[in-house]
Amino acid sequence: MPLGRASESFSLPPWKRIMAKAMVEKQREMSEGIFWVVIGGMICILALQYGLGSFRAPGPGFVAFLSGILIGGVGAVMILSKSISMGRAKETTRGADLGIPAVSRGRLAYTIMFLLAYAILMDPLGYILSTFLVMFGLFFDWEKRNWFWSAFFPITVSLVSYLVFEVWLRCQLPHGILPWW
Amino acid sequence: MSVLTDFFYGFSIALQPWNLLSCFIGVFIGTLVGVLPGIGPAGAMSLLLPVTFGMSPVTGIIMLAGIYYGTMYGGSTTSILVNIPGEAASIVTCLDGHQMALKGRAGPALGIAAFGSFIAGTGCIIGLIFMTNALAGVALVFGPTEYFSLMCLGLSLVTYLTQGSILRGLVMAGVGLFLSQIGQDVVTGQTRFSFGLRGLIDGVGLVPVIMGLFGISEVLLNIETLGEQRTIMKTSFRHLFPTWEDWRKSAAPIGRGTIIGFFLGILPGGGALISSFVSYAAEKWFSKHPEEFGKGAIEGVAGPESANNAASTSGFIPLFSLGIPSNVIMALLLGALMIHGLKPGPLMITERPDVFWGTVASMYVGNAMLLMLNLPLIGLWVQVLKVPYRTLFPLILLFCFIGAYSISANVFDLYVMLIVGVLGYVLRKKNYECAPLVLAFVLGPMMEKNVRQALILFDGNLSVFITRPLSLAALVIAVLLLLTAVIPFVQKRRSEVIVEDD
Repeated sequence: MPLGRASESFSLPPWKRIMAKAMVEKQREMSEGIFWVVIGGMICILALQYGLGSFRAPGPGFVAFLSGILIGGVGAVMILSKSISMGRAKETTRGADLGIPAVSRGRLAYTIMFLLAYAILMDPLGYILSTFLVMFGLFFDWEKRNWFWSAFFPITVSLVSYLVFEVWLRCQLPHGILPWW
Repeated sequence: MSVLTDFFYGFSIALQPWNLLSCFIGVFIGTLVGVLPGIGPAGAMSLLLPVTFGMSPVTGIIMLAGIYYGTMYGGSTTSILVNIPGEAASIVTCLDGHQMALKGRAGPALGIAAFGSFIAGTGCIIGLIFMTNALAGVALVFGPTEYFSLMCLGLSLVTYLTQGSILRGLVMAGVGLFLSQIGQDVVTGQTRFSFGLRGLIDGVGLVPVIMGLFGISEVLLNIETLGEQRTIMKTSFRHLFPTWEDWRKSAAPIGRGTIIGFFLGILPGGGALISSFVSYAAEKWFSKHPEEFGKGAIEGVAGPESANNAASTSGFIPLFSLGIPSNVIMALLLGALMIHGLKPGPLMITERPDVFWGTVASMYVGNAMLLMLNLPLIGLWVQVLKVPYRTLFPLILLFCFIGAYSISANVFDLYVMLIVGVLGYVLRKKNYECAPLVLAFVLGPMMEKNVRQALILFDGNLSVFITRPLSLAALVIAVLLLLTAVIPFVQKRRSEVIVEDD
């Protein structure tokens, strides 16, 4: 929320703030319901394309259609009900804080980026090299910037995990540009 | 007598060197996972599932089962020493276990948790032997209608007992059901919902989905609190054996916990978490000094710890006798059994007695191993707790990647895992539980097969689902459960229990 709007809302009397919060909550739940109705509808359309068959001979889309009905139907109930958590005022232990803490956002984005890079690089670079690079990125402590430990852990992890999974357990890991490994 | 002969046959399987080793590895990893907050039994089992592919089915299942009941033992250690439950089923142990530790009685708390778990595990194995046989006999007369309705009941129970909104649980079940439909149609062989992607022709893999939901998303959730420090009790572990007075106080709670855990573990959706809470409530009710609960009452440790271990053992009954998993862990085991070419159900006991009796006997061996592992190695587990999450999470992610890749040596599975992981993270942040999704995903193909078989068999007559008594009963209970959750009083009570769980 922009600073101006935040300070504006703080200037409101308490009952108005509670009302405003309830409205936001209700809108969010409404949009949640709409989202599931759309998803359910899309699944039903897809299922229809594959054929529902008849009750005597159900087709490939029969159960998927039922799942679409279930998702869309529940979404519709979400929209229709006054509130999803009606009568469950306490049900906000984790759900209340739906946003990601500001300090964690960078860390999360950074981790997901490395995981995506791992999936992309694993085949072309091979297991050992890609694992070293990704582990280096994930182990690296940006506060202490200890290069020795940041390099030592990834090298050890890459080699030991290769030994355990590829050599001992015979898992098929990609060799990439290091074909002899 | 025949049961005893079969049980001894099971021991002859479980005591084979490879099976013994896999049991040890399973319970060791299970304890480790139970000790470490941030990774649960489902995540650990899915990480190790690919490792079992090279093993015989019985060896693989023994290891996976060992991980499950091993976590129940390990979870109590963190609850008592750090006040952080390593596993959800040990949440309630924090209440009195940590208070005991604060009073310098960490040793007896850990000791009674381990002994109670052992006694409960042993008792439940006996129950499992007799009940599975009896249920399997009854299940032989079940047709596709009964199986379909029982699966609906299981799914609705799991949805009913999920934390948070039932509507959200139902949505997740629907999503799981749809995901299970991707791939080839079992009847016509037609490829469906693959969107032109070759990787989806065989459907979405169970392992990438589980690893995404329980591995990747769990890590992403924990990364948010990366900087937080754990405070570990500095206490002596010399006096691990409970005193006679402790035993006197704990004997009845262990007995009650075993019975509660056994019966709640059989129920679909019941499982270890619910049974530990019910046991705690029961002990408080039975106690002459309920005011001592929450201040270090040993009964508050003995009962719930026995109950969660009993439930983790009895959860195998519906899986082995009916082929229906009662919770996510059992769904994962069902997936593992199917990957190994086995078909859990009433015929498995007669067709593959080595798997059934071998696994049952290995549970007894595993429980004994856990008792020996837990008490002398508590010092080691405490050291493990000191490993910072910053060091741990890259390793968990690495194992997820290796596990997902090694299933079919296909990068596509990594993308599936990542997408499911990020989606799982977002959904969990929005208070959506993953258990109904996974259960529906595993049950989906079986539900489809049974419903289509039933409709073809009875010439498209839908009334067959309500004219057969067992099917009708299962469906009525399933519908009633979902309807009662809308009644304000039930809704309020349910939310109170769930908030207490949280």
